[in-house]
Amino acid sequence: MISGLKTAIGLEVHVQLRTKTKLFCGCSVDVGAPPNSRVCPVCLGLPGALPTTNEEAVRLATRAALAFGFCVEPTSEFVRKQYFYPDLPKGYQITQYAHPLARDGALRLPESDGGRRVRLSRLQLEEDAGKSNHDLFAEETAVDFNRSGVPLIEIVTEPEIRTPGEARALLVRLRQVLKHYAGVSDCNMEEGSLRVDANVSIRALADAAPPWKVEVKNLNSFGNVKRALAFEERRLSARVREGCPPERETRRYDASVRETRPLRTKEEVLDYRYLPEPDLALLNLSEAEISSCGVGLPPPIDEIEARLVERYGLSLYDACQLATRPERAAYLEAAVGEGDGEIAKAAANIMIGDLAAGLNRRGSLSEADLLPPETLGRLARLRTNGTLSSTTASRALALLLWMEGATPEDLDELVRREGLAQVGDPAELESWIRVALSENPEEVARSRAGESRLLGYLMGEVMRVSGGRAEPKLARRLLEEALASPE
Amino acid sequence: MGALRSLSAAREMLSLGEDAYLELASLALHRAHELEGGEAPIHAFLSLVEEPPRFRAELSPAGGAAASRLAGVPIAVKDNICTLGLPTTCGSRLLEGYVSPYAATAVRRLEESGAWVIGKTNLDEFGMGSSTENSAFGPTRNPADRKRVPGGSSGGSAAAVAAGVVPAALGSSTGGSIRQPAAMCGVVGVKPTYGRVSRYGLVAFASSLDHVGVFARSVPDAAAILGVVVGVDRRDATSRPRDPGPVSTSTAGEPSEALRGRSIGVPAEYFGDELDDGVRQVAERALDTIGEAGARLIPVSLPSTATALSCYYVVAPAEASANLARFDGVRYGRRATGGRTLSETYLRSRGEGFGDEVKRRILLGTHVLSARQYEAYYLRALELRRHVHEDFRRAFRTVDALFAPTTPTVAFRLGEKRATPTEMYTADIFTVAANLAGIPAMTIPIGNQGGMPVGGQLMCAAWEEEKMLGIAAALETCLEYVHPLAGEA
Amino acid sequence: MAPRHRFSAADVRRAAALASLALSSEEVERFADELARVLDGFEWVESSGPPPEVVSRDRHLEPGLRSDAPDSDTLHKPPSELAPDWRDGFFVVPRLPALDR
Repeated sequence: MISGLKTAIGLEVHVQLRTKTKLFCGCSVDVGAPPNSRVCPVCLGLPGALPTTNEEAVRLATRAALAFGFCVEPTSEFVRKQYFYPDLPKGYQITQYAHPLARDGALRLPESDGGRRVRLSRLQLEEDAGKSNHDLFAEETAVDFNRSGVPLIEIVTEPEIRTPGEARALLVRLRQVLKHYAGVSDCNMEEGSLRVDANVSIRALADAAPPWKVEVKNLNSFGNVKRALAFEERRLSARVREGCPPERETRRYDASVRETRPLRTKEEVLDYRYLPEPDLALLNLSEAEISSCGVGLPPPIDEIEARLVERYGLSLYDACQLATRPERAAYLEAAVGEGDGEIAKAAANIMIGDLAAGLNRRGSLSEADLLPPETLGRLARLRTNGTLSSTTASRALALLLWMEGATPEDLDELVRREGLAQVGDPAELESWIRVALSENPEEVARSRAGESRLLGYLMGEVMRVSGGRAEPKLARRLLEEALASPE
Repeated sequence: MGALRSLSAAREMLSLGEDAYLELASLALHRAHELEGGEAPIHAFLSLVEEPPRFRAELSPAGGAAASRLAGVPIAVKDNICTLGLPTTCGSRLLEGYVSPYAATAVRRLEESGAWVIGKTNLDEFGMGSSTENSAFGPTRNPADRKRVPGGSSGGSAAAVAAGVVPAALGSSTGGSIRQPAAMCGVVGVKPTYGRVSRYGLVAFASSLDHVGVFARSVPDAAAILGVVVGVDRRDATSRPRDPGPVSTSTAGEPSEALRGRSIGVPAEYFGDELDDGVRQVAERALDTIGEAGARLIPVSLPSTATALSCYYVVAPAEASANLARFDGVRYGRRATGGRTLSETYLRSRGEGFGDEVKRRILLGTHVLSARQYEAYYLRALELRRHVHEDFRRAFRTVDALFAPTTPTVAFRLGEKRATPTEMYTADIFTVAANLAGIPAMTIPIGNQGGMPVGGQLMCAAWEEEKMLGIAAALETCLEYVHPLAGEA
Repeated sequence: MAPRHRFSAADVRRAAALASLALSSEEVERFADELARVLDGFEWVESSGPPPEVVSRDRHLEPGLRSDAPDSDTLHKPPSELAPDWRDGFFVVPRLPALDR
């Protein structure tokens, strides 16, 4: 937000659906295959070829719509959107227009970004074009049609996003829902299975003049979305301040210079001449068909977060971390069961910290595969009841992960065998303290001379000598006593 | 050399085995070449096979297998229906030499039943026209009078059957392109219900109006060919996922029995001022015959007839403008040379590749779909189309079939209407409504006027091909009229 | 209704640009004249209500969806044999800058 000016951002997100075959023909979806090797009469737009709709694409699109709370229309319609481009084989794209698959969804920004609800105006099903490569040959553009006809959904937000940061946060959340909640797409930006166009409009708050409006294309990472929008916000604000009359234009983000550049303006007026697709029937979905697409869909991400906060008293930050994938939240709930907030917080800490790192190292996604939730529950309990210190708990987790699938009993055995339990026996604690003090005579002398900040260092030495097992509160008291009593 | 008179004659001959097969094939090919020669060639074909496919004993009619229903029978195919081996040019420069890498479903079905494609027939470019004069490769002439057009757009298929090259041919109809040339050449032409025959492999002109249909010299022959090509196709989402039964003309007892007690509607709008007097007389005689055979003739009204043609000339060009966008010279077909930029290449490939009528329709279609005109034309036309549907629905509540002349006039002279597109458009005036409504319609020869054939049209409710063909077969028998083969008049 | 039926040379040029058709100025004039006549010949009935929305096709047509299993029609010739210009597995066209769609 720049003072005196109002920014409104809207996003158009194209997401490739996870199907085996294309939207309107039986060609395999395999965009990495040798160029023009996954093509047939339909996706090459050969004379006489006709489209037939992939049932699974309709199912996944509907599932995505339900995941965002869209109203799925009982009747929607495919249309032809006409324009010429060498990678558009039929001279039109089969998409939806007046009657999209779904309307009126919403997505809430994470609480950390204000938690505001952003309305999603429509979700439509459409085919992708082929891919033009302008850099392969010196004087020609090379065209590959492997991607032609790949199923996409386009999700359009209302222009209700206020800052580039919000735009980024919304996209992150959108991807979480599509990839992990609905499970309809890989959402891989590098492979082009998630693409973003953004439009920015800026107007002076005091002014009734129409806003400056710019569409930005070629946003190939969420970071670039934020950077491109911030760039446009600055650029447009300056123009508005200078009092230039507003314009509409389409620009392209150039990541190498971190700037947007105008796309060559077209000589002719754009007029897509939408035509109801006569080769396809209207898409009719019964209520039963629609609801069957939502089977197994987890609750919305913000509901899960709220539940984690309410039920276990987790911090909002932790809840957001855990709700990125619904199975993470479910895993936590399975681990904690009826346990209290203390246990939940301990379990959450382990998940977000050591367990996430462990999964990362193994390139694995599933907590449950490595560590059954009951075992995490036991570990959290041992941590909260003081049996394990943070150090010994980490060591226990490392060993558990190495075992893969360890049971709670395995954990108990481990704690016994490795002697990981905290020790509160004053005699044993005093013997560790004696060793620690004898190994650091100089620090002991300075501490006794009044250099109180050395207490922490010496406490660390006690913990080291104990192998992390010393019960810290009692050990500290005994250490203070030992230092206070002159030898 | 002789001519192939009928499917049954061909099958009788083919039952004699391999030698007969080769003889019949060479007869057909010879006849086809004959029509391409001379001072005023018929020019029914744009391409012909060099030799017939190898004889397959297992497919001989003597074998009796279901797959051999058309074993050894040569069939002509309109050149906008994709075939392997022979080019599919659509009568357009833009597709000159284009050989499709896949075959149309209707062609596959014919070939699976043992028939073979002898050649590809001439047409108005992309099916746009009513005289076959809009072919980039020269017009087809009417076998009944070589100074006249054969009608169109399937003029080549109609002429090939009328001249006895083949007993049957495939054609396509968007506004009357089967019935109109069939009537003008004196053969039977059938446009089935929309969705009855797969459009997969038919090069689209106007998808919601396009139909694949058949030409033959008799109703039973037409029914036999149609019976092979009908049926749902997983590659055409508008082919119906239910098949309402076989198409046949099987009528027990006297064929004329099929007419007794039937109610035949006579739409007043099809006997108005546009109708040529000679054609009217032939049609009225046919009505008398229908009445004499025991059918009740019932006057009906189809008020949408007057506006149907306007509706057609909005919907068809609108869809055509989109369907023909794929011909951009990027993936196949002709690319203009010398274009410095891509946009120049597009403009020139299409500007040089398409003929006048195609350009007219693309411009018209583009105009009516443009944002400013959409409501005034396209949406209005959709509404008119609904009226056409309703008129037929109302009529078929009281009658079994409608009978009317197929065309307002007999075949006109070459060049007579070419200069004035609007006049050419009226040649479809009696045929477009059935395409707009998707109902089955056909024409049979019912007489002649000064030696030029006159066709009578039958229309039935959707999916009632069997009833329609039964009535047509009965009428054919009662009329005892077969238009003579060219040269035998 | 008459004014709506005009088809001017500008209309022809605009449509030709949208449809990527190169036309000579002679063609522009001729088509404008011919198409104006076509539009003038149209007989419309007055609309009986608001313009139809989703009525373009038979509502009863079953959707006939396809299952998500590989089932592409065989190309009996590779794309390279169809292409007017082909190089290293790609269709090629005169180079163009990355354009807005």
